[in-house]
Amino acid sequence: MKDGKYSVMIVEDQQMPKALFSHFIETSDKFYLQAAIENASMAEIMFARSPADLILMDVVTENGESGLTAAAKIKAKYPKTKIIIVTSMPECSYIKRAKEIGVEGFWYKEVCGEHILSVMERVMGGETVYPERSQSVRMGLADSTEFTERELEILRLMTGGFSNVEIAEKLGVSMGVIKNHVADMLAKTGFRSRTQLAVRARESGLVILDRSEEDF
Amino acid sequence: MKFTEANLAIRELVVIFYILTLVLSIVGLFVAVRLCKKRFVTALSSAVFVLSFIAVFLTMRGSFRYRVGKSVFEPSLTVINLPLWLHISAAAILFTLGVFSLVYSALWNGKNLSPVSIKESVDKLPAGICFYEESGLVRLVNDEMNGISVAATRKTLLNGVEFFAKISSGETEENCPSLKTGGEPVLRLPDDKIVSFRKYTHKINGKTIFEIVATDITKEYGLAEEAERKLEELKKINERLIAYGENVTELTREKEILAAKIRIHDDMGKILLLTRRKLGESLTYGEKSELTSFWQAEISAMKSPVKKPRKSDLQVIAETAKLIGVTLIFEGEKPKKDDANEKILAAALRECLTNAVSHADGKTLTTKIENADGYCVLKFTNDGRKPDGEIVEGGGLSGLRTLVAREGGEMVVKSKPQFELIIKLRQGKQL
Repeated sequence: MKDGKYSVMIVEDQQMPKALFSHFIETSDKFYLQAAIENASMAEIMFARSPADLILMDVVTENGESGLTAAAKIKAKYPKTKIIIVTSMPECSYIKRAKEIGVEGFWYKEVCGEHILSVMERVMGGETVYPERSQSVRMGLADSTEFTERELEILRLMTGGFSNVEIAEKLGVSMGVIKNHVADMLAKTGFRSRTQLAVRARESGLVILDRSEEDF
Repeated sequence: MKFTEANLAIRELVVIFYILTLVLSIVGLFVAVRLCKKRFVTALSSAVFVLSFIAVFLTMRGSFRYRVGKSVFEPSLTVINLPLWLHISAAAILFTLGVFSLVYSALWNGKNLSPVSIKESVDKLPAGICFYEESGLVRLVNDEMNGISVAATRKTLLNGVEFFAKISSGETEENCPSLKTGGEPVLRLPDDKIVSFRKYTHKINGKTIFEIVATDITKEYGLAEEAERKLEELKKINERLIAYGENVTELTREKEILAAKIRIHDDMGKILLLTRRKLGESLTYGEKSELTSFWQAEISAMKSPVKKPRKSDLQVIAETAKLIGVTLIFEGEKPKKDDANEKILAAALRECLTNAVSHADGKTLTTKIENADGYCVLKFTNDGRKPDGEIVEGGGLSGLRTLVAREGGEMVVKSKPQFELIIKLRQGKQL
């Protein structure tokens, strides 16, 4: 804290939201901008040099670096630091992972009615601020809220180009189980093929495969 | 009454019976040996044959020479001087025995398996089958397998070892190509039938007997080929999906940027209307400040560059190091772009930079890169505080170690005399 204001670090690679967040913070009487970076993999290093009271962390940052991974690392080393995850992706697992990491806030850029500054103030006040549920998207004839967790897991791996055999191996189930789930999803959505299902899921941002766990 | 004293007709009748018995015994012996294969029947038939032969020879020759007054062979003389009733009895007994052994063999064959029945049954099998000894001598081969042998090698199957060697190595006729060689060869026959071969080993009465079975797998092969084709198609679709996935992130960004621009455009419209109305009134300081703040926010958002060129991991690390006041020094040639080693270099640099800032408060991070003998060795040091004791690997260093191990490399962390991280990797591994 400095002059009664909380320090904020922004981790956001898109220029417009970054500019907007920076403007809101700089014109606020409760916060000041400590640093603004674009790559989540650098967040821990920046934080080590200049710790902040609050971090606004985007989920998918420059070069595809995961904000959730960076948040987990920072929370492990600096548990008192407050973090708010910000995203426009409706990827359903983000809220769950954010809660598992222990971040204090989650905010959808496009959808949330509440202003980001209000969320920041509530979080610094000791509240945990999360939307009631994930953003929903239309998937053919179905709403994304109609999918089970297992179906979303399978859908996520399908968007990565994995075959049914590979998906079954990764999830530790039989291929028959995978085929049944895919058939159920096709029936729900009315899509003609597995490919159509995967393309729509990826396009809508409903599921995003975190390649950082597989590659580097 | 002696045989020689009997009526000619009676003597001739007895001899005819002996001859009939001889013929019967030949047939019976053949049947016993080929079909029945029972020892006592074979022995009986043999005995009947020998006795009837002797009887025929001695009585016929002896009687003739006696009738024409010539000297008779001593045994023949003995036999033809035996009582008539003895000859009649012997003929009857031998004839009965001959008939018995023939009938017995025929009946036995009807109720039991014989080599011929086994051959008949294997010939009816749809699969090819062949049994042969270690030397290659064929013990049993059915018509189907023989047909395959002729098609594949232009020869009937006479040597099992040679036949299997040819089909396993693919040395077959041009119109009978080999689809798979090795222990379980597969051939395409001239009639487009696909045949798979399997070899089995048996131990029978202490002897090693090999069995080759040829199975028609035309349908299964066709299905396997179709499945292979579909798998290729799916692989291509998957590749396109992965490429799409890599592009869609960019597309999503473009969509978000467009949505933001539309929002800014709408906000600008509202601010213009509000400003026009307010300019017609006298504004308080607070209202002016709020209006100015709105304009600043919108202009700031509009002015920010929409798209920036993509930076490499090393560029990002260099920029961050500069921001936090740490100098990066590189000695040696860096790995090529998109090389797996470049990724490891970036991951290690990230880790060392974090540690230099968090623990050592260093201002310079030096990376030495040595390429020699097919290996790339990376050494990282900093000018900060020396470690107090042995370094305990936390999540970051452990994660790095896993990454290095996955690429077949080695990692060493030194605590004395100063912190040094050494990573040894094989050169030239592409991602």
